[in-house]
Amino acid sequence: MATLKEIIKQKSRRLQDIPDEFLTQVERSQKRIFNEIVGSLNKLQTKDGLIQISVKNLAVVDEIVAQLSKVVYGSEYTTAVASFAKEFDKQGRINESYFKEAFTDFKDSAIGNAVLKKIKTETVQSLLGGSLDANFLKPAEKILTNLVTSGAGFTEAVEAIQIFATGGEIADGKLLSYAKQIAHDQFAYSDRGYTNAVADDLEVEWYFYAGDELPTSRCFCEERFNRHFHYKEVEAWGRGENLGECRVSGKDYMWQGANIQTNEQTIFVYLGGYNCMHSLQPVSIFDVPKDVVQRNIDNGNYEPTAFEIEEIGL
Amino acid sequence: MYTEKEIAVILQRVVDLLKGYDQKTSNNREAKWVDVPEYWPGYKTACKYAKNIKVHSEIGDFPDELFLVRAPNQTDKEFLYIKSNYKQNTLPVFMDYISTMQRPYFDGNWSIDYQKDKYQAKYDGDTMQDYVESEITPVGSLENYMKTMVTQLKAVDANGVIVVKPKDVKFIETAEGPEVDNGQLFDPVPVYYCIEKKVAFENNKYCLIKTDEKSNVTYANSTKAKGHVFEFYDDTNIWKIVQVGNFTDYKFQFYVYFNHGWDKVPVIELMGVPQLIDDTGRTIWISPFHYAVPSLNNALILTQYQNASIAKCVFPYPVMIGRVCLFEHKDKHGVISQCQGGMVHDSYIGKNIECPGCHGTGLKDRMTPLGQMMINPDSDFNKGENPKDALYFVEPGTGALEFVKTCITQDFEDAKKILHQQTSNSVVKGTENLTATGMTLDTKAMYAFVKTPSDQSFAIWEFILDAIGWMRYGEDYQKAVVVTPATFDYLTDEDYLVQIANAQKAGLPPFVIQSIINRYLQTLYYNEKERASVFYLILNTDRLLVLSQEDILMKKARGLAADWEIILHDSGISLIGDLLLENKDFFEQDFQTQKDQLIEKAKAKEAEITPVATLQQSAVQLALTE
Repeated sequence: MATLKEIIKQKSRRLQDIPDEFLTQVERSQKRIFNEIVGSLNKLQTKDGLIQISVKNLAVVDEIVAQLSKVVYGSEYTTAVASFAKEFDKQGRINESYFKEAFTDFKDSAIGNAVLKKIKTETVQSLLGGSLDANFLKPAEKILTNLVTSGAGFTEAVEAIQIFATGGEIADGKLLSYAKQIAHDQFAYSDRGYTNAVADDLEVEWYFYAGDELPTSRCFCEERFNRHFHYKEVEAWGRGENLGECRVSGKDYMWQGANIQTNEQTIFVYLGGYNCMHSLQPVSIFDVPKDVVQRNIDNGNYEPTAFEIEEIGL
Repeated sequence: MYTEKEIAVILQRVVDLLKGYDQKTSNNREAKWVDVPEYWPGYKTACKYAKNIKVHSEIGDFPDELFLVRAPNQTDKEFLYIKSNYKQNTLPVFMDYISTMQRPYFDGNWSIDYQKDKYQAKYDGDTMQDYVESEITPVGSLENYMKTMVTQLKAVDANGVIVVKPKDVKFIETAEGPEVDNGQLFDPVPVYYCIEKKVAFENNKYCLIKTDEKSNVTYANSTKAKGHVFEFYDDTNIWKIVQVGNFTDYKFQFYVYFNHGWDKVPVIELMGVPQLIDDTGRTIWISPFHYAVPSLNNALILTQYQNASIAKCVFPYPVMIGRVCLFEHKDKHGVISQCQGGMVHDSYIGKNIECPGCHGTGLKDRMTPLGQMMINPDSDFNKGENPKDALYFVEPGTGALEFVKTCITQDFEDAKKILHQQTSNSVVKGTENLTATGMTLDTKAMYAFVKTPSDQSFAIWEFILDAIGWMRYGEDYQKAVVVTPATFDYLTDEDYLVQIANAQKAGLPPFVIQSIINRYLQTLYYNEKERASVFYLILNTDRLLVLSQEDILMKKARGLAADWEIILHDSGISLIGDLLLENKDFFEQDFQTQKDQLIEKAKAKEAEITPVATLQQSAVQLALTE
């Protein structure tokens, strides 16, 4: 049986790896999509290398967009999204095993499962539903329409489409860029959402800021990872307290990368904010360092029982 | 409205004249020579006009008076010859005239909206349109009646009348006796009466018709179907007036045949060119065809004489040297008498008679039975160089006949010119080099010639419709909207396609293009009712009908055209086909319902085939359930 540490490690690793794997698949499907668009561009009427401004060409744009939809929804991109969605359930089962190991009174959490399912559905909808339309197909149509109405050069048009579809040296393709916004965050939200729901059920008070220090980690996460906290300390972050050097003034967000909807309740899900791949892992008081407990006793967050005082050695 | 007494007064005026006419025609074998009474000022003239035209419009009767008056010295034998070999060669001119007068009826030039949708449900299947398209005797539809019968009748008898009356009237038994069953849906039909039958009338007040019907009266001590039957039309009733009792007493029985209550007299004249008769403003009508009658009379007469002349003297006549006849006649006494100068003596009868051998000529025919002339070998004609002088043929010069032929041709051309008849084959002398402008002017003149008769015909049509509508439906009648022709050209469906293309190229407003498309469809599908219904529905439902594909794409790009409208535009016929499969009586529904159902069908199709939403839903479903 895996130890708690191993489970936490596995969970934290997956928070990084699973979305990365999904995004790799997205990157691959971008190339196919690009080939599809470029093939259809040959239907545009041109004269002296310039795309003609004509009603017929506008009709070709409609045709290309329609074909693009078929490719996106019928290709490996959809398969990748389906696989990614399955990982949400797997992550839920890992969390379940953690709670079974860490808390003897844990039972299957209906609310936890419901939260997981909801976030999973939202994620799939974002990656395949109307949002994809608005964030990828419509921009594609706009670019194509602009190329026709401006009478752009055909070569220039192909370059523009290439950058849009597969990205360039400094930017990702549109689909990948969009998927990146969603993949890491939503996966992390589902993991934390499940954890938070179960923790709430178990009336957990102590958390471990789990995960690795990454090159992309920001101040907030750097200050907190691998440390233990009382839930009231976490709530204080959501209120914008105890942020130290990480605080950002004069902005809508409280620290760099913070989700602007962070408050003392949502902090448990949003945590470090956008692209934060850490988790707040509920722990037993007996796994919390003595100085952390003492700190929270001193600041009035926590009042130990006599048993705890004796066991911990406070 | 006229009372029985007032009608009796009017009738008496007619009967007083009729009595004398009856006497003359019963005594005279050649009754047709008896002059008709002048029932009203202009009556005889009007009858004559019709009679003049019938010579050139109806097959049959030999126009005796034309030939008797023309050549009063001709012998009976000659007259009989001409009568027996009479050829009515002016009929084609009348047929061409009828064809010209039928131009206004070309499909696409006119239309009638019977307002079918406004009839109450109780008339379903029995609306005005249903009735006039199938129940008008004897030709089935009122349209056929106008095109075939009225056109011809109007050309011949401009003073004749069309009355509208029920085919029959059903009676029901009541306590007061038989009464008209006013619960029935009457079947009014138009009926033509010629000028001879219109024995009394006042415009917009009344009309008295002497029908061909005969009532039973006592005549020469026996009952005979000889009594006169009249019909009297006023603005309220149709009366039947029947002669009863003794024929010579001229007693009549009056009864109301039909109470129409229309406030208008259901009688209309066929009309033509008006001619004032007197200072009271009374007019009679002259058919436009009548103006060609003098030329046609000339052509007809000269043709008969020409034929007779050809038979008499055109063929070569043989002249030959004969031999003296030496025939010996033996009479009953056995006495022989030789031919002397064509005569022989018969002692039995005691006188000279014509020689049976030479038939009185005194000369014998030298021709053999098969037509060869045998010359005596000793004859002088066999010795010299001129045996052919023994026989020669005499032919009269044809100059006179050529002249007559020219006169006939000129008379025909004059008549056709008066009637504005042109064909691609006709070359009127002096017009061989006519320019395109000249021909266009001629065409316009022809249109002007046709316009007035066309307007009159459609006025008659509308009158008949209103009369039928009132008599059949009363207050429930929805007045039919008649659109009269503005052009008299015969446009084929190809002509309309050219017009549509030109209208689109010229950027004419869509409603103009739509009206041309409407006429095109009427021309193409005038005899295919269901097809016409299909296209009429599309015409009135497809908002994008007259737009080019490019315009439609532009509208879609700008959000001015919904997807279902484009589906309706592209697949209208197939959608209607589906609706017909679902409900075979689809076109029996009122028009608004048809439109609504077609639009719903297009919207449902839009929902089925919208690709992006369907693909999205499938993809999301796939990702969540696998």
